[in-house]
Amino acid sequence: MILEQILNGIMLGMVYALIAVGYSLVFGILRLLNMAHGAIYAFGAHMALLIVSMNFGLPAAFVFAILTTGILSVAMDRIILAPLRAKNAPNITALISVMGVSYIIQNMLMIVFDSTKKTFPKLFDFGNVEIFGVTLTSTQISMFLIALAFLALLTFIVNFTKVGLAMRASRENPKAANMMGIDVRKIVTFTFFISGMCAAVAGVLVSGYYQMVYSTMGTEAGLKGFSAAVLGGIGMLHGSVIGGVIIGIAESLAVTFLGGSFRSATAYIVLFIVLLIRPSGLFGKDNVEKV
Amino acid sequence: MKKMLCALLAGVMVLSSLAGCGGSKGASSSNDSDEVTIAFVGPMTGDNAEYGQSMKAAVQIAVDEWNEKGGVLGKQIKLVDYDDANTSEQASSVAQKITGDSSICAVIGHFSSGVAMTASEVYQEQGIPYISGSAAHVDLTGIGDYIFRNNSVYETDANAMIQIVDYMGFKKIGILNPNTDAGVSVTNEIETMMEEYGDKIDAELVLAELYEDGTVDFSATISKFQEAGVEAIYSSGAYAQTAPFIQQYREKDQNVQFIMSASCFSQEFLDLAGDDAEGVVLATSFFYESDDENVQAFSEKFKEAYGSEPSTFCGQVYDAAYAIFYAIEAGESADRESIKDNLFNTDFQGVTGKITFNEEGNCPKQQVLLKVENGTYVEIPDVLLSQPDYEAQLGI
Repeated sequence: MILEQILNGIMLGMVYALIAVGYSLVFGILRLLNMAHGAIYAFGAHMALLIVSMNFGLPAAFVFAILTTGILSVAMDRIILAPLRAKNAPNITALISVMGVSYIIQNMLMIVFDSTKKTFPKLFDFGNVEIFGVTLTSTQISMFLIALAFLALLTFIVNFTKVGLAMRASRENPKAANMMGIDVRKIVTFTFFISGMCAAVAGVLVSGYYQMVYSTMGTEAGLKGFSAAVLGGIGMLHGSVIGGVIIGIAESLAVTFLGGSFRSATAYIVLFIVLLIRPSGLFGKDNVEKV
Repeated sequence: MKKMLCALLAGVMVLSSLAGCGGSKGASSSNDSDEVTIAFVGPMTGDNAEYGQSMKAAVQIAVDEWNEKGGVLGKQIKLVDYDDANTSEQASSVAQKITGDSSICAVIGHFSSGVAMTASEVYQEQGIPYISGSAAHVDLTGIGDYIFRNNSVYETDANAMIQIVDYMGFKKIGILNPNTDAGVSVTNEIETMMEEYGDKIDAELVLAELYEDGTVDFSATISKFQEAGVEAIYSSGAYAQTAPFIQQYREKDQNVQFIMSASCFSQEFLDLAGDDAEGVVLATSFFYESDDENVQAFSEKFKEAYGSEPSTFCGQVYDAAYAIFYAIEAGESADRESIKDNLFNTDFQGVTGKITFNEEGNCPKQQVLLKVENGTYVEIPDVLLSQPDYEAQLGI
């Protein structure tokens, strides 16, 4: 029973981890909480739904969702955030702007796709698998594996490629990176594209997992994903994954031992406890603020 | 510029206050006027607008049908509608407006229980008969003798669920309800009722779970149900939560039986749950495909007027309008108090079953059992009894 619930929690945690990495990527470079991430995630899911409803199949939907969502994310940066940065606006201006963007996206989705919950096809269906006497469904397993592969790919890009090196350099010191010949503006654009891509991948996977798409799906998921990112140490990719899994397991165990009403409360209590002990998150570096 | 704006705004305000007077224009004592006026109140704007508009369409059909036959007491019936936006604040001011208009003799409508209860305080105090077709909160009709309800209360839902379980022969039952006022009330009602019936029924409640409204991941809850070995699960939750729950459960277990409430009696539920909806059973007091010719006639007219199948609530407000017209005829008066007195003697066969009001003002709703087969609802007739009949059969 407990083992089963922990596995359930890990599966759910991967959902949160997928959303959390999007927050971490942007925060890592710009020190900006991208509060529009939840809405962008819902946008990605709706783009996939659009293609699926036109019968082009899931792979096409996946690609289309990734491209359009990546472009939306970049457009948000170019149109709203880049001008603010150019004027040296305080961080709080950017924060409130992205919150505004999140409402605009969400309400646009509501207007175009209406506010009902719509069905989304199941991603994979090859029967159930038994591991250590625990039955896991094919959607759970495939979700887990795709998420894991995607997170591994992201980690590889950030840590072992030239672009990744440039991203890390821009994170450490944008001015110095600029002087070393790194086009920081391009790197920022690239980061927003990747973050939008993460949102789309998460949106499609989660929609296929729950077989459901709706305009406000980003609100709750965005908040949980954000908590996962903070818990793991925001800006750290592996931290986001661990943070997501911890929150997922906390929720599962809360449902088991305390009942469904305590689900979210328990997740946030775990978050508070971790932050009391390690204020910058599990894997976060101290002294995040730089002068 | 500012002055012009001020003048413009003032003009708009004067106009809108005049518009408000329109409703009471020519108001005189209801008995002297050449028409009988009833009011419908519901959310015409806002999130729940579809409920208000569809229920108003149903009441309008009832009014038209009577007017074709020559109205009541030889007078034509007029329907006026008001918007409460499903908020208590607006409902209370609308209620004041209605009670102040002496030409209106009765009120139907309000969508949510909380909103209906706020308005009911006014209706009771001012003495105007009011019938709700959608509020399920037990305390609504307790507000006073002018307040009536043509909707099932939580007790009826709980009883219907026990009858279904009994009929299908399940022994281990689980419940999953939202942790809202309604969800907790239904759960409590089932627990008390099962305790009361005791050995008279085979079924046993092994696990009652609550979920946070808006939950989409039910894997942990499902594992708990499986661990407890439940054979059937009841939920009174909205379709947006029950559909994913059913899908996630079906992936792990094909044999479990789902028993739902009237909240899942909608096309949206069938669309969202897809193939996994097959075999789901639910109880409702109104079924648009019933063989009853009154129901067929109503469903047809409703579809023509509104463009979709009538919901349970639409059927219930339609019957509520009929109840008021019968009460006017019985008392030979459109006087508010006379209507109230005669509503207690209501007895006719409506589209939502037999319409009678008990001393509390509630109409005991006869439920029908529906099953999802090949993506549509089919009726399983002659299974569900009224609560008193069922208890008599059990020997309680």
